[in-house]
Parts: sequence; structure tokens; C-alpha cells
Amino acid sequence: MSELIRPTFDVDLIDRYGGEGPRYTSYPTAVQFSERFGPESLLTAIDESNRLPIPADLSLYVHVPFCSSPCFYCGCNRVITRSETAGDEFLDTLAREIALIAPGFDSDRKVRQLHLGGGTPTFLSLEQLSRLMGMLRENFTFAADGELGLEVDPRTVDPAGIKYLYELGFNRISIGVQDLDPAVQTAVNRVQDTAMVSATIGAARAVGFESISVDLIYGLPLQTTAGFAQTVDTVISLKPDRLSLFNYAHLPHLFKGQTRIKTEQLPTPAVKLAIFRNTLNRLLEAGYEFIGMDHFALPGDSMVKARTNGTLVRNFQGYSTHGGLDLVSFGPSAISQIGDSFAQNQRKLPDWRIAIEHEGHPATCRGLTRTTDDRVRADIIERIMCTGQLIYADMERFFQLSFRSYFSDELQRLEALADDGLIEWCTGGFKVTAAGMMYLRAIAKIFDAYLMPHRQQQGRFSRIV
Amino acid sequence: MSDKATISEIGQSETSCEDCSLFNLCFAHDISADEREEINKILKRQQPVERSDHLFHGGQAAKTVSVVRSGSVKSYQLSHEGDEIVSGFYLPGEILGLDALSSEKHSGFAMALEDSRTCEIPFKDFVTMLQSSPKLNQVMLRLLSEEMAETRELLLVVGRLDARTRVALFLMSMSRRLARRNQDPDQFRLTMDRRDIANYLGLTIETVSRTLSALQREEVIEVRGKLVRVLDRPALEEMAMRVDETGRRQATG
Repeated sequence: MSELIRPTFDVDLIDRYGGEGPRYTSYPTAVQFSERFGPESLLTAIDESNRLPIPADLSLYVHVPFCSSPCFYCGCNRVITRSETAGDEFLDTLAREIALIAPGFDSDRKVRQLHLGGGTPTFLSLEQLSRLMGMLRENFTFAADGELGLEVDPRTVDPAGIKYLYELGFNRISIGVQDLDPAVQTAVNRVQDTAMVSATIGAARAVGFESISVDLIYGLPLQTTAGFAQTVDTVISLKPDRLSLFNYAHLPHLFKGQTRIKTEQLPTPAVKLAIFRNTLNRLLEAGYEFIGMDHFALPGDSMVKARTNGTLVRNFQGYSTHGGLDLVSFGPSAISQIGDSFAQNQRKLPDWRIAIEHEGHPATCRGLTRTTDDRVRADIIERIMCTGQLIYADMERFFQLSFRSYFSDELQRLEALADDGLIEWCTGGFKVTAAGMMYLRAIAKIFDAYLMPHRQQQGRFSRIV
Repeated sequence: MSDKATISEIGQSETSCEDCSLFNLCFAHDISADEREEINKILKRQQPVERSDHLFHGGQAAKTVSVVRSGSVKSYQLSHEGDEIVSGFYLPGEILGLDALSSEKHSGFAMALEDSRTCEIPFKDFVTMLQSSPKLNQVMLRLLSEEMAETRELLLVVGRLDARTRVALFLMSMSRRLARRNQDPDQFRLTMDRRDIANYLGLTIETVSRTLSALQREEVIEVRGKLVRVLDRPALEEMAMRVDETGRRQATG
């Protein structure tokens, strides 16, 4: 077991490497998806996936697209509603979607992971969540030791509800905290007091959830270094196993909800940097390990183990401990990854519903199938993002290529990053340095064939730091 | 030669068997220069066959004898119930269609497992040559004898051996045949579906995958997609060797 590198934060590098970059939850990124990839392509990909010598086990994702009130920072695909019938209607369509897709998978392919995201999964009542789990268990075979997780809005679930979720089989929970400062909470329209957050985490721990994760966001309106430091200290005292520190990307031209955030209330870039640096240092001091990008975890957590022994992967939910799974996703805008194919559902709830209910086929509207070049680059990017190093022979083992000649341009462009101390050359490859850990995306970007200088990508990706 | 055959992905299309990279493996290597000359005149080289397309169907009058030039092909029979029974896999340099020599009809089916190319000899010309060439006869006898031996081994495999031994034998057979083609014997692609492997070995698909997973856990092999890497060759050989020693005594698996 090797020690994890603790990142250092070199502000001087930020101008050069802190710019925009894809988050690489997939490669190629969703920007490359094409409308030529439709429902038939998804079904073909599923059929092909059964033919492999050892077909992949499954990871399921369900996108619950509802929220009862809008958080202004949110860039997720969701519908704001207080409708009493929305949940049941959604589940009716979901049942049909599952029936269209689940039978395509050979029955020996077990579900090793499940994640409910949104929107707000707990917009659904406990009875509705129970119905949802019943539908999934009826149509898929779940592994006994699967990782079953969901995102929880503490405003929607009380401690008795947390216990009920555990009894439904969930063993991982992710809690949206964002910021505990009441002024910030008001400015982003998400008011939840600290006692409520603390009670949710306490209940989850008491009933036996294996991993409790908390999301924080920096860069929100009215945030100050002192105020956010207070939030971080309180959160640390609650000891979540995992912690995500997201950078708020203010892109109101892409996300309409964000227009309600007052630009003049946003912290200056200097304040944002200070918040990030302070939080990073505070978390490391408190014993959290840096996983990569925006993820931290306590040493006992499975994510730290995965990071240490090189089994960490990246998928649409960010970092994940379980690689080699086919991702089967349900609900509007959800993205599946089956073998080398990506398939995204219709983004809008009505379009998703029409495809499934009226046209009777999966709601896939765009996607792509990776080429061999895509696969090599995806592998390289994943290794950089997840293990912080790249050994060329590992690539040559699985792909018939000579790394140094195939990637001679990329290796040349890496020289500048090596000069700036982001990476260091080692025998047969390179390693990300402590300073480079903050700029994993900038390093990975070198291998992105779709990010040629002439392409117009500005404003489509969030800033790296 | 057809126009299509010249659109070769492998590089320049050869114009005679001697130029072919598979020459040493092909039956054409073992016949006389004159006979080869003859075959060169009637042979259609590198005919493309798309994945899932058939080279021939069972019961069909034989039109050609085919040698796999690139890609891979599976052969199968249909049971009385109409179920497919996979009888073999053919790799570059291997010959298909000899089953029609006695009745001039194919007894089974042959289907490309991936986009492949074959060299085709018109069946009638081939039979005529057989009648006049002792050398070609000799070569064909050897090939048929080899195929018979393999069929017998398959009967043994399906009838008596446990799943591990069956899978190990299958992997060793693929590895050996690829090594003969100057390809890395420790790294190869399984182009057939797991259903085909299961069918061929008389196992369920679950058992095939479970066995491969177990071998992977034991670090005997590594499987990624269709690619198999042999990590511990002696261990795999030993598993396959049990055929001769304890295999016959083992209960059916």
C-alpha cells in the first residue's frame, strides 16, 4: 500500500492550469454525443454486452427529476413541482422503462451498485421509494453485498425516514449541505438549519449506513472565508466518511435557475481561491485524504482503499470504488454506459414519457460508440484522474500500439507541465506531483483528442479550480 | 480477381499464395508448385464476409472450399429441434467445406464471427484436382485426420470433463493455434459469443463466465472485453493436461 499524495496548492499555477476543463465523468464527454445514436443502438449495445466472455456486472442509476423548490445554484436537470401525483406518474413510466430495458441483460449479470440521484430522490415518499426498489429488484438480480446509495435532502427526510431507507437496502447516503451559513442559504434558496443536517447524519450513522457523504459548494453568493470556515468546521465535527467540495460554476446562459443569483453577491476570484485553499488545508489537517478533483474521504472509507490500490474509477456520478461495470440508467437525461457505448435519455420529462409510453421504446435520444482511439484515451484519462500516474506499458498491454510514437505530440505538450512541476517523469511513464494533484483535469486534457485549439469549447465546461 | 478483394485492410493484396503471410500454415504450402500454379488461377482471394454472414448453409450444394484468410468463422449443425450446436471455430489458414467431399452437400453451417476474408476455390475444380493429384490427396487426408482427432477430443471434453478442464482446454487450443500463426500465444481475442463457447463446450453461459472469472481471480488469465491474456501458462496447461491423467475418471461436470 502506497501513501496517498497530499496535494499542495500553488496559486501561481492557477492562471495557466485553472481554466476551463471537462470533468471527465466520461470520455469522450457528453458534448460529443450524436443524435444518430438512438434506442436501437442502445438495445444493440446491450445485446453485444451479453456476448463477452465475462459480461460486466451492473451499476444502476435512477434520475428522479423533481424538486419541491429550486436551489438557485443548481445546474442539474430537474422539474420544480409540488404536485401530489408527479411521483406516482413518474414511477408508472419508470416501470415501463425498466420493462423495456432490463430483460435485455442476461440474468447472471448482478447489480453491484445502485444510485438514486436527481433532482431530489427523496421528493418521492418512502412508500414510493419502496415501490421503486421493488420494481428494480423484480427486474434485476442484486448482489448480496451491493453498494446501494441515494442523495438525500435533509429537509425532506426525518430520522425515522433514514431508518426506513436503510431497511429498504440502502447502505450509502449522500447529503446535500452546500453551506451552513443562513445568509448564504437564503441567497441560494436552500434553507436548512444545522440541527437538521446533524440529525440526518446522526440517524444515518446510528442505523448503520456504511458510508455517509456530504456535499459542500464554494463560490456561492455571500460566502466569506470566515463564514465558510465555520461551515467546514461544523461539517468536520459531524465526521462524514466522504466529502465533496464543488466549485460553483456560474453559467446562467446555460442554467436558467442561476439567473436568480445576484452576480454582485458572488465572491471575488481571490476570495474563492482563499476559501478553496483554506478548506483544502483544514480537511487535510482534520485527517481527510484527497481522492482527486473535489473528493475527500476518511482513511477507513472504501474510496481511500480504492484510491490506494488503484481500483478507483470515474463514472457519471464522479469517483466510484467499483470499476468494470456496465451503467444502466433510467429517468430523464440519464446516461447509460454499456461496453463502449454511451446512451443519453431525453432530457425533458414529457419527451422521456412520450418515447416510453406512446412510442414504446427506450428514451435514448443521443449517444456514441467509442472508437479504439477513444478507448485508449479514455483509459489514459481515467488513470490520470484516478491513480495519478500513467505507465505506458500498461496501455501497450491492452492496446496494440507503441505509446511513445502514438502519443508523441501529447508527450511533447506534457513537457511544459513537467517544467511547471505538475508531473514528474518516472521509469516508463509519469506521475502527478503534489502540486499537480489540483490540476488533474488540466493534465488529462492533454490526451483529449476533441479539445483541439480550433474547436470552440469556451463556456461549456466549468473551471478546473 | 474481383475488385472487392483488392480493397484490403491488411495492406497490399497478394497475387499468389507464395506472397501470402499465411502461406506456411495453408494447405497450399504442402502441395507441388505446379498444383499451386493451378490453384492460383482459379482461386478467389480475400473475399470479404461480413460478421454474421454465412459462408454456406447445411444441405446446400457445395460451391467452394474456403480458407480463412483473416477474421474467424464458426461451424455449427442444427439439431432436430432446430437448436444450434456449435462444432468448431476456424482461424486464419484453416480450411472449411471439406464436409461436402462425400455428398457434395454441406452437412453443417459456417458463419463469420467478425468481418472476415476467405480464399475460395471452386468446389468442382478442387474435386477434379483431388482426383489427379496424389500430393493434394495426401494433404487432405492429413487435414481430415486432424479434424477427426479434434472432434474426438471435443466428444471427450463435452462428455466427461469438469468445467474448469473444458475451459482450460479451449483456451489452450486457441492459444496453440494462434501461436502457429506467429501470433502471441499469451494474448488473443475470443471473437465468438460466450453462448458459442458454452454451446461448444456443453456448458451453460453462466458456468463459462464463472469459470473464466475464477481463473481470473486466481491470476491464471486476465480477461478484458474479448481480449484474454494468459498470465500463468503452466497452470493453464496443467488444468488442460488432466484430460490424459485424471480426466477420464472425473465425474461429468
